[in-house]
Amino acid sequence: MAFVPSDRSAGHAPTPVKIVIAGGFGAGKTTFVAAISEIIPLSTEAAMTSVSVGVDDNSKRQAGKTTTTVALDFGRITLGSDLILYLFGTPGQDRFFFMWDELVRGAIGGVVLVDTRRLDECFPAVDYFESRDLPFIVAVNCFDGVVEHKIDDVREALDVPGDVPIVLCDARTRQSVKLALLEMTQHAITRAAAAHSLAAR
Amino acid sequence: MNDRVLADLAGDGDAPPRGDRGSNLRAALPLDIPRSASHDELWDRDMAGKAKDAEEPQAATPDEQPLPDVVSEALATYAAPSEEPAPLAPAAPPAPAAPLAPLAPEAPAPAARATSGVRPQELGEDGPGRLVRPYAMTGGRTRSAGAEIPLEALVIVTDEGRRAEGLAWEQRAIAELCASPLSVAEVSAHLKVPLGVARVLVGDMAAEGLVEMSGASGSEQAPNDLNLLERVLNGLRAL
Repeated sequence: MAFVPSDRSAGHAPTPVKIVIAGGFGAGKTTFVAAISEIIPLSTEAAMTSVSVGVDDNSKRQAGKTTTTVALDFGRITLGSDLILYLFGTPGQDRFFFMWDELVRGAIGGVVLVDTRRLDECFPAVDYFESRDLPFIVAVNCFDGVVEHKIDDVREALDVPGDVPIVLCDARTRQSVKLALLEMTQHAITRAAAAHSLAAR
Repeated sequence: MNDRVLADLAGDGDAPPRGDRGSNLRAALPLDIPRSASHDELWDRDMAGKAKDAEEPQAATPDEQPLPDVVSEALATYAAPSEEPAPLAPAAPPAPAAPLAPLAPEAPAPAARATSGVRPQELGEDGPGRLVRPYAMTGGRTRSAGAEIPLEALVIVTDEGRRAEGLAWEQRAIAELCASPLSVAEVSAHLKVPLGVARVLVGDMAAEGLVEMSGASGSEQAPNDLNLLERVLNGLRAL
């Protein structure tokens, strides 16, 4: 079936938008989503089959199939009668990177949640967003509202350029999460505006 | 379950660049941030537990990339003979002995209806039957030709869909779920079917005019759409 659904309802149906929430294990992705989602975070299961070729004999491929399934957690925020925002959490481990392309496609931006005690766990996410040229911010998850290191230190450790916002965030509180999302959206606007003015020259 | 092919090709599986980020990581970021009880570790562990890896060869990572021709062969083996949904003939390998029989003895099997014969409550059960049934719904198909419907694409039932009679139960379920706009990801979650299956079901219904979609063409330009971004900003501010 070669049918690709078209948007026949452009007049009255809402538009979906998506922000990707990334970060290492235990960095607080699900907490972040749950704090602001109007629905209890749901989970969709995505599967991919990869075919591995036996290393012995190229002329006689012995295909082994491996099946990987991964659960993607997500939440939803209705921003108006014409706009629904989805927050998709990335799978916890690097080896599920096959899903990231799909998560990032069409997203307006990303948030990388950082647990400063395990800073290196967010490196893959930062690398990935940069490689895809997706606007993103870094949100340093503060537990109990305490942060002991300056944002500059985190910036240096993460090696992100000065124009990438780094904010403090308590992933458990709705207000803090809202501010982080606002920061991310504003950053996306700044970048888009700059790109437009460049193009206009 | 692990040795069955779930051919939901979700992408080309490119590994992202592994930079040398962190080379200037200071060992002395000595943080004694008191950690309040959070579910995150438990949740992440749970998520990891849901990711069932079949045996992975010890070969290098590039082997994880799907090889198109072999996978196509595999798909051809498992795909339904025709592109029409063949709900009564599950094509997945561990096919039940009587493919045309309903999977639960007591399930009604009205001959006139194009029904998969699968009862709603059977879906989501664990056990060997679970994988067969969702793919039975789609006749073994997990992918429409053409672009993948985005995760966040919204599905809304049409008047035609509301009025339609004789729908297969899964289509009825989607028609009811999507009385107000619902994303494909939500359809997958509520129906407890894999994302690929939800995409095919929704795609089929859209082709028949039973639902319409928004955001199905997946705007790759969303990060550059100033108008859209401003709307998101205003909407977030109003929360």
